[in-house]
Formats: sequence, C-alpha cells, structure tokens
Amino acid sequence: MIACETFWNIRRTLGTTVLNRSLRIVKQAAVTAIGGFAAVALYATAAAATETPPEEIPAEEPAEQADTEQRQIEPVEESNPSEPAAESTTNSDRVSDENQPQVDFSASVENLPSDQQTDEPSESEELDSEVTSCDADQEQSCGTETKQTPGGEAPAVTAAADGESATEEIVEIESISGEFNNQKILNRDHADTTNTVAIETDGGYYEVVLRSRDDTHQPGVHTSQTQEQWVLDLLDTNGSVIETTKATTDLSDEAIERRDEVGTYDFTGITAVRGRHVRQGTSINSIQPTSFTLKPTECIIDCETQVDVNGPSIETVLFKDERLIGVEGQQNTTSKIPVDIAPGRYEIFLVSKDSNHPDQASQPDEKWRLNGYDEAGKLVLETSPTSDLPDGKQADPSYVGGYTLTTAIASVEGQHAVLGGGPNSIEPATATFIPVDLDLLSESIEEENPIPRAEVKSSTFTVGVDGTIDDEATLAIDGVIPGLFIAGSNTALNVSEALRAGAVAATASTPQQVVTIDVTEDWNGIDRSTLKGIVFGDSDGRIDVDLALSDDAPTDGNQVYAKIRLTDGNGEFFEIKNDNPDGFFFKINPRRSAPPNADGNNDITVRASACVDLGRPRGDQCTYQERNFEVADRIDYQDECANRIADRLESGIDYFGLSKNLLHSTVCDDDDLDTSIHILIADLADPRVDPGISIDGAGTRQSSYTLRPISGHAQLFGDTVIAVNGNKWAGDQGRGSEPNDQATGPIWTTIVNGTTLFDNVNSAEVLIGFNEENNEARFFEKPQGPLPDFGEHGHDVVGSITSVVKNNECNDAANAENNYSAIGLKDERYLVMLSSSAGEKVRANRGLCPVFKALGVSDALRLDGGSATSAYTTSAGHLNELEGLDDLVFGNSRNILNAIAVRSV
Amino acid sequence: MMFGMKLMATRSSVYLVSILISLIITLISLGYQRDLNIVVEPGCTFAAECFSPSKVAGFPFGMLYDDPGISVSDSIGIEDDWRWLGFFLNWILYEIFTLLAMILVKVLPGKLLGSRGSVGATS
Repeated sequence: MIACETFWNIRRTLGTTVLNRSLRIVKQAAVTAIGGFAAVALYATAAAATETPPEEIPAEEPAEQADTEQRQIEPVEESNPSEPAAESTTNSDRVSDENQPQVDFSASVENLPSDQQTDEPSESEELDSEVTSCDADQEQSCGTETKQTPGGEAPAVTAAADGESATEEIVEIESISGEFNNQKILNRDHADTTNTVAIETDGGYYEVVLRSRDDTHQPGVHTSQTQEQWVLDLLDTNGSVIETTKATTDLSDEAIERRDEVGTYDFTGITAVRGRHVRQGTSINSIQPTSFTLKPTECIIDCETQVDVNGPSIETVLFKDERLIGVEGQQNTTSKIPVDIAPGRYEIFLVSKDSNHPDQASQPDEKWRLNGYDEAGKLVLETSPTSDLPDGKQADPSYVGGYTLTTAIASVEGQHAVLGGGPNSIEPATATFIPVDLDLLSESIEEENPIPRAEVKSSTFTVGVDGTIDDEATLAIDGVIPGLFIAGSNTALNVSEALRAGAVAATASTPQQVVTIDVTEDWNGIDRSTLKGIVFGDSDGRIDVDLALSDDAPTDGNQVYAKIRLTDGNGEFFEIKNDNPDGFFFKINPRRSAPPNADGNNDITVRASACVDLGRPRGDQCTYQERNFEVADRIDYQDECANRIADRLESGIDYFGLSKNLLHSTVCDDDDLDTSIHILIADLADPRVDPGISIDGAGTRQSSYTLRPISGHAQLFGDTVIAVNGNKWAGDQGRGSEPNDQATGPIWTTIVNGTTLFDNVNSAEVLIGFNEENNEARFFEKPQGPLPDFGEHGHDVVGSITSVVKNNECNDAANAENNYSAIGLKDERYLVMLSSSAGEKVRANRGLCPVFKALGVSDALRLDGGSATSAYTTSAGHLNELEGLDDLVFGNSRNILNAIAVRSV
Repeated sequence: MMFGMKLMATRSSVYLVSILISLIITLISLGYQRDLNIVVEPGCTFAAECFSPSKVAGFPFGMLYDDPGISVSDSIGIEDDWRWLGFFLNWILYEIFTLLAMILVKVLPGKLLGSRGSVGATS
C-alpha cells in the first residue's frame, strides 16, 4: 500500500515518464535483490507482471513427470512466436517510451550473447532455458521468457523491428548449467560440500536457480526431515569462496525434488561453484544438490532501466535468518551487516519474511525498519517501518521511501519497528538500495516541466519582536530558492515582492491628518532657528513626526534645538528635545503612552518649537506652533511591534547599514518582548516547493510512532529545506534513544496524506489544511466536535487548540510564556513558520503574533512548545538546539512526533 | 561561652540537616501525581491556556502542572508548568514536620531513659 501511494506521489509530482522509469527501477530491484517472490510482489505492484513461485514436486510423481509439469506451468509466460514481441509489453511502457531513441535491432542483438546455433540443450537446460530478446525498441520487448524447446530445436522468440513488421529472429541467451553428482551432503558418511564444478561465464550478473532432491522422501520413510537446505559457493581460480548464495528452502516431506530461485549474483571472476549444506539448526538432515542454472540478466537490466547494474548503483543486503521478537529484553535487532553504500539518494525496499507464518491466525505488527550506520558507528539512516506482513504470506516486500544519504553507510541492521504491546516476530530478509538517477529525473522534469529543479539552498536569521535583527545570528546563506524565501540574506534580505507587499500592508497607514510645521525663532530681528516638516496622525493611532531643524545664524555661536511636546486632556505626557541638525523623526502611539483623555476624546495637541539658547541672561528663546489631532483608538502594542518589524524588513538591503541608534522608541521594549524568533517562509504556489507533515509511517495509522529529532524528520521527509516541530503527542517524553522513543500518536488533529491519524473531537481547534497538490493551504476553525469539511484542503492537516492570530487579531488568551513554534498563512499561499530561539521564551500573543502580522499573516496557530520547539534549515541544521536543563534532560535536540516540513522538488 | 557556641553550632547543624531533609522530601513528593479534570474556561477558546492542567505533581500542594499546550499529553516533565508557590509551601510544611520529628527523636529517648534511671535509682 505504501508502495502504491508512493508511486502515486511520484506520478503526481514527476509525471508519467518518470513513474514508468521508477517502475522499471522497482522491477529491477525486485529481480536483483530478492529473487522470485519479491519480484512477483513488487512487479505486481508496479506493473502487474507475472508470477513464478517455486514449485515443489509431489513425491508420488517421478522426476520426468515433474519436468512435464514444470513445462506445463511455465508456458503461461511464453510469448506467442507468431505475435510481435512488443505486445508482451504494457501500453504504458509503449506510450512512455515513444520518444525514446530507437535502437537498431542488429545492434541490440550484438549486445547479447548471440550463440544462436546452440547445441541441443541438456535436460536441465531444456527446463530452464531462458530466452531473452530485445527488439528494436529495447525497452518494450526485452524480457526473460522461459521457452519449451521440443525436439531439441533451438528456442525462438519473435522480435519486432520498430514495433511494426514482425521480423523473425532467433535469439538465445545462454544459460549456464551444471550438475552435481547427486550425492548427499551432510549425512553420516558424507561431507558438507559437493564436488566442485567448473564454470565459464562472461562475468556480470546471473540469476541462480538451484535444484535439490532427497530420494528418501518416499511415503512412509523419514516423514519428518527438517533443515534440508544448501547454498551455492562461488569460487575463484584459487578455490576461495568469493560469495555464497542464499540458502534453498527446506525440502518438504511431501516432495522429493525442489527448485529454488536464490537471487542474482555477480559472477565476475567466478570460475567454479560447489554446493554446501547450510548446517544450521538442531535437527539437520541431508540433502542432494542436483543442479544449478545461471541465467544472465544483463539484457533485462540494460533494456528495462538503462542502468548499469555492474556499477555501484544498486545495493542489496541479505540478512541472516534472524528473528526479531519485538519484546524488550529479547532480540529486537539483527546483527550488523557490513555494506558500502555511497552517499546519494536512494529508494529503499525491504523484504520481510516469516517462515512460520500461519495461514489462519492473525499476526499484526510484523514490521521492521532498517538502520544504517556510518564508519564511526553513528546512526545516519532510519527508514520508515515496513508494512505488516500480510497474514497468509510468508514473505512480502515493502517500499519504505526515498532517502538522501549525506554520508556513506558502512553497516546496516534490521530492527523491529514495534516494541511492546505484543507485536509478532518478523525476519528481515533483504534490503535494497536503488539509487535515484538524478540526471534521469531532471531530464524527465525538463521534458514535462520547463521549470528547472530548485536548488536546495536556504538562509535564516533571527529577528527580535522589537524589530532588531540579531547580527550575530547564523546567516547560513547558500543562495536562494525561487519561491522559497527565508528572510535574512545579507544580499537582499530575500524578502520577496509578495512578502514585501505583506509588510507594506501591515504598515500601510492612511494619514488622517497631515499638517506642516514651519516655525522660526526670530530674536532681535534675526532668524535664529527654523523647524520645518510634517506631523501626521495615521489610522493606526500613531503620530509621526518628521521635522528638520536648521540653524539660521550659525555664526552667532548660539545653540539651536527643537522641542516637541504632546498634551491631551490629562495634560502633558510627552516632551522630547532634539538638537540633531540632520533631522527630527519619530513615531509615537500616544494612547499607548498615556491613558485616554479624561473627557473621553482622543484629542492630542502637538506643539513643535524652534528654539535657540542665547545664554545668560536671555536664556532659551522658543517659538512654537500647535496642531491638534484626533488620533485613532488605542492600538495594540502587538500592532505597533508588527509595524516596527515590518518597517525593518521593508528596509531590505539597507537594513544592515542603518544606524543602531535609530529610534527604537518604547513601544515594544517595555513589554519584555525582546526575544528572538526564526522566520521561515515558503511560497506554496511555486511547483518546486512541496510542504507536508513528516511523521513515522508517512500517513499510515499505527499503534505507535517513532519519535525523532527535527533533523531526523528532515531526513525522513526527504530533501527537506525548512521544517519546524509539529503538534502535541502522547506517549514517550522523547528523551531516550531515538528508535526506542515511541508515541501513541498525536492528540491534536492530524491528517497525513489523506489519512486521519487523529481526530480531536474533544476540543475546539484551529487548523491549517493543505490540498493534495500542495500548492495551497487554508485556515480552518472548528468548535468542540467533529472535523469540519476541509474540501480539497484535507490532504494534510495540522491542528492546534491554540491560535496565535485569527482574522488579523492576536489571541490574547494565548499568553503563556514558553518556547513555541507556530505556522500561519498569508493569502493561503505563503506558509510562514516561526520558532522561538533557543532559551528565548515568548508569548504567542505578544511575541509571535506581532511578527505574523508584520509579515501579513492573518491566521496562524501555535504548535507544540517547550523543549519540543525546534526549527531546521538544510544549510544550518537544527537552529534552536536545547540549552541548560532541557539539554541535560533531552540532549540538544528532543525527539518529537512530527514536523511541518517543506522540501524542494 | 564555649558551651554557647557549641550549642549554636549544634542548632545550626540541626536546622541545616532539617532543611536538606525537607527539601528532599519535597522533591520526592513530585512522585505523587494526581489527575485533574480538564475544565474549559467559559468564553475562552483556541488557547491551551483556556484549559486547566490535566495532571499535577507534588504533595500536598501541587508544584508541577501539566502544560496543556506542550507535549507530552497527560504526563509530567520538566517542560511543564512549575509553580514556586506550591514548592515553597510544601518545603515549609515538610520542614516543620522534620524539625518536630528531630526534636522528638532527640527529646523522647532522653525522657524515657531519664524516667528509667530514676526507677533504677529508687530500687
């Protein structure tokens, strides 16, 4: 199911061409990594392919009959020689590959082992002779097909050139077969190994098929024989074992012979093989290795994926047969398997197995995840868990997602994904890393979408609510993603035009009254000083004073200055002197600084004086003008702070050049709001910006969810550029080692990929919902009770019981002081994420709301807080690492349930 | 003089020990956690602050209250709401009990021994 959803997401995001290529990669992975059964499941998921389960031949039937049955089964896969081979391909392949370059047919043949005039095949060759063909359109008709070759005739496959006329060509890929002496191994009088059989291959990858038998499996004789299993050792010229195949399955008591596909292996440098008993278990029985068959897989891979499997691309890890219990104190992880996975982006497939899986009983929570460690043993990869092994199946593959590895992985282990609560045991079988061919993907994107891939770059800075910007903050500036701007680049602050418009909107003020001041102090018939400019009252209740002072008689040696005094019905409440000849500029909110007039009106009188200090005995001489204003109602300090921050942001590139002693006023500072907040902004309308909710399971309801730090969520989500913590959960505190911290789930409404993980009917909530295209989001609110109708904005939803700002009004009830993160929307298009800096407690109503309003955000909700508060950018990592006691308890990053993340696609 | 200083030193030690003991008991009382019913403040919506805490730790006075706006739910941790008033009240209360206990421990055996001695002397 996870695989299906992932494929759908890939299709939606990248288009059909990429999907089809992905499907082929999936198929390749299946074939390469896990042999028959995984190929069946994956290929069925991806492209509805055929199924070739290993068969067991009843003991009652002679071997010849069994061979016949084999032949009767396999024709299901046959292509009709009379039909063009291209018809065996899917339409989607055909359509998606229409634009692929046509490859000359003869060239294709040349690429294959083309010994067409083969000798008459041996019996075993006859059974397993694999005929692989490539027609002119390589990707369409190339495949491995099992052919019956009656009468010893060479197998024939029809290949179509250019997909039109059917041209009959006989193409054969030689399988390599060999027989053992039918000797028993690991019996009382026998060795563990068979005779060594020399082989001659061209190198490269071969699928290995092993046949085994036990003649003692006659009715009534040795009815209970277990662990009859063997492996094939691959030897080099020195006789050293270079690699060993997966073991065959135990020969059941009812059968005398068995055929196992044990996987694909690199035979480069292999010159001989031998059978060897696995010799594992306490009740070991002998087995007769009969034969082996090696089927080259080169054509499949070349034709289907264009990926060179011999390169370091696809990596498959085979686990030992270790059972994970899922109960504390028992085995919950496999032993570590050494690997060499290079950094890069990979799609990861895990195969689970449970050889004791009953057909009837229900066994839930048979899940495991893959952990990857670097050279130093540090955990660098933790995948999502596999899906539960379906009841009735003994093995099943799972697609667990795409991951970007920044460091090489040196070892991996499987770990049970459910601890406690009575899970069932599971055995990791294989893990396959399929590199995502970025060049291939980008080509496809360019084909279907002319917009180039976004560069993963970001920047961040912190801004205090009084508008100050912390110059010491980390300016992790790598560049700018169009559509994803994080205010704070020292080149342009990266406040986009749209964001700037929001800031302007927050500061826009329609002057209610504008008056000019032009007053000159004239002493003894000589102009001494002049004060000129404007004073205006705006709709936000502010009075803006912008006056310039001039010294009209500079040679007289007298000091000039200006004086501004504000009075209201209660008397004088403000006076300031300024002798700066460069100007006299400030804003003041009189109703903030003084209570309303005693008579109930909002009249303010501004007296502007031009003065000169004439010294003794004349003293100060002033001439003034007075202007009356009826200011707007008292404005909230949040708005004032918002305006101030907006002013700062609006100042853009020049900000860092501004004088530090520019008017800071007393508007915000006296409210103890001098905190720092990280601001992260994404433009959802940009197709390269992809927001979502990162959570364990990626949208599947689970009995428990692994908690992980914000950086872990960034990795889980993939290509994450920015992220903040999500909402509140129940379960572990999040202070343990990551894999062991489990949450029972969110307790505020959370919908991920259309699946409701929690529906908070107990509380009124505010929510932000994203549409499936992830290019639009909407703010919702609901009373206590069921969820509202999200319409198309219900694909991803995060809820909270606390709003920060709603309909452009700060939520005064949200006055608890702590560290918090919050997200809001501007115009349902810009996702604005705030997160308080480390150790900087903030109130939502006084600290977060003004910043949101400054950025033009009309609706926002508060997320989880306290030590769960965390923000992340790809270049700077975790921005607000924990300090002090929190650090002592949780480490520098607490494990959290989910994160609101944005990735670049 | 010496006796007075010794007495003061002894008393200071007693107080110091009792303060430490009562502090430890106060902190240990954090292990006592009880549930509180969630109450939504009338007219208050869209704020965790509208809710009363659902869990409180400390005895007899609550010292650490579950913050309804911060993970994890229904569990007490350092990230939750610390109330100094409850802490000091508990500490004072335990200090009183500790001092009383120490006095009793010091005085009672003497009393008992003294009464026994007088009995022995008369016999």
